[in-house]
Amino acid sequence: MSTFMRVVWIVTLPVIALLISVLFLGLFRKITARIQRRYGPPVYQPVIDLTKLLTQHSNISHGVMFDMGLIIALAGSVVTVLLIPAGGIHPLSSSGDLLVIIYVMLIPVLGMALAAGDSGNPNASLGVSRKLILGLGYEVPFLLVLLTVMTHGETTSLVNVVQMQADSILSWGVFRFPLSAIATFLILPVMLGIHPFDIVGAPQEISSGPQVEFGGKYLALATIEQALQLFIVIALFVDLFLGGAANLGTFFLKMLGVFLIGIFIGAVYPRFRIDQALRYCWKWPTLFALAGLILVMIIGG
Amino acid sequence: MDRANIRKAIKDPHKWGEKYSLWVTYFCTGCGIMEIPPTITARWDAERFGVKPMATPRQANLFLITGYVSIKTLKAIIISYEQMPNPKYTVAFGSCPIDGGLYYTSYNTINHLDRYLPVDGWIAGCMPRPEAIFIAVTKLWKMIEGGMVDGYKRYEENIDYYRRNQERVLGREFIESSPAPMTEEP
Amino acid sequence: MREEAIKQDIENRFSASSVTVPRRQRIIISLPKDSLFSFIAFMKEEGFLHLSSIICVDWIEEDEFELVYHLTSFEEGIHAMVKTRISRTEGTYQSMIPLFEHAQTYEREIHEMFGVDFIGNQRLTPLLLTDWKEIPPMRKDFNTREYSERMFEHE
Repeated sequence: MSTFMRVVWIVTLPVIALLISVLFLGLFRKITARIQRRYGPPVYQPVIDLTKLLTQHSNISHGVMFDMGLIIALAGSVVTVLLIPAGGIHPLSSSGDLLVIIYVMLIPVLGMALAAGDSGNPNASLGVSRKLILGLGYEVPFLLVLLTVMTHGETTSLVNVVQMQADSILSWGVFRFPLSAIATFLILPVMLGIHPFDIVGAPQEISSGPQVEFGGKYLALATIEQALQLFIVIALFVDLFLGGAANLGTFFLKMLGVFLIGIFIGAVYPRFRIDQALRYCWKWPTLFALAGLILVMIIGG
Repeated sequence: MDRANIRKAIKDPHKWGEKYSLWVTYFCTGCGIMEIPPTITARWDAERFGVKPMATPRQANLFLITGYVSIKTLKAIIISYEQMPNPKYTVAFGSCPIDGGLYYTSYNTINHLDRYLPVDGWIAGCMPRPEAIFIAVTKLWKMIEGGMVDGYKRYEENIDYYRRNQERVLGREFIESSPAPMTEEP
Repeated sequence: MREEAIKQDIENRFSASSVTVPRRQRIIISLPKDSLFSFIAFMKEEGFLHLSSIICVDWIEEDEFELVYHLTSFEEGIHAMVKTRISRTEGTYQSMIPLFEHAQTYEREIHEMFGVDFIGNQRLTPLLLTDWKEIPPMRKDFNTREYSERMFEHE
């Protein structure tokens, strides 16, 4: 990849990711409505919402950290998007390091925590503490899964992991380490923050949690950040287990498939409590991830 | 409905966004809140109009005053209203906020909401049906289109009048503790 | 019938009381205000362990407040209404807190809405109203229409 192309992709890839994730948000609302026997909003409703939020006048700011935290979170998300190979495009890292991704994925969470903490609203603090506890829950199986993948391929590069699966469908991660794939699929709703694990932003319990003091442009930035998180988690799943993709079109289709299954699960469930979610995360997904790791270590790469 | 009219949307994205994305403050002031659950769920589905209840006033731009307003509720309503970002709209729901309704002679419910807050639209009835909310929403669209909804501007311009009336009912202490609403250049 | 037995019992012990049994599971007892406290203590021993509510009625022509104590016996399933009249001009009465601690809130509300002073209740502070400067609003001589028009229709 030439330097010029790399710069072009660094600029365009976040935009493409944003478009895809906003489309996903719209699909999410429409399909959930259809499952609940409602007509639902149009698919482009999130675009309307974002337009409105960006043109609104915010009449309050709670200090410097309140403004900066959101920007830190957004920057962290954009960097993570650039690190994850999407359909053969990976502009920021020729050797796409999984270890870097693990660290960078934490930045958005911390940014949100800083912004929400500065607002001084008790609901925001509650939401942040729930977010961090939930992170503690899904990081354990997720790190085990990543360890399995790294041990199997004897590489810490996500690009190499994708290349390894490029031969045929049977070389996909799903068939190489099925137990790890199951574990990741089980924690996927937790990482996406959709039902039954939308504990962080529960509107009825803690008034939408960390976002409680966000209005207007702040809420727009927070929504964009969340949408990018959606992209990151699903893209990571596709890269790890569904063989990535040679071009953006196939990649998008694979992501859509994963996302639809996520919606179908999410639309019919109520919400867990935080302790139930933590217990869930540390029980079956961790068990599967551990079993997968042991299996890979015994059989070898 | 010209929601899918792309040319119009690009020409005036501000109005397009305001019209088709009305987020309601989830605040039950009185009995009228009983009509909201059927409105937002499967039977009448307000989400197809882009109307969605939001958990906090900071995120919302439409305030539905549902039912009678007692003096203690009025305090909370004023605080919530001033937290909403501009532009914001108020719709009074039911006959009690209009002129007191059934509670005209009551010693602890106010009679005319528009003396304490600017109101952009009224839905009469006791109770109005969920369809009435949709009629109000479509009327609001027309008013936003014509630039006729200026409640938040009126509030800033006539703040002395509103504060005087609020003080009469809520007492000096409340007025002194609440800051003047921020006037902002668009 | 259990109600009749209780009626007999009451009439034997409190001669000044008048007891009626309007229907099954109901007893209405009226008695002078001096013997009310000891009567409710007696009823509590009889098994009426729950004070459901205290109600005040303003009889303005007779210049009296009527206090109604609702007692319930869960074992018998009987609801007893104990009524007494106090002077309206004086407007003081004994608190029931020594017998039922939760009577504090009921008495607080009655104090706010009717202006009855309960001796022995330490917490007769405003409960529901804010900044109330008129006579208590539930009294019959309080003109609520006039107040509403003066307060909310001032233009």
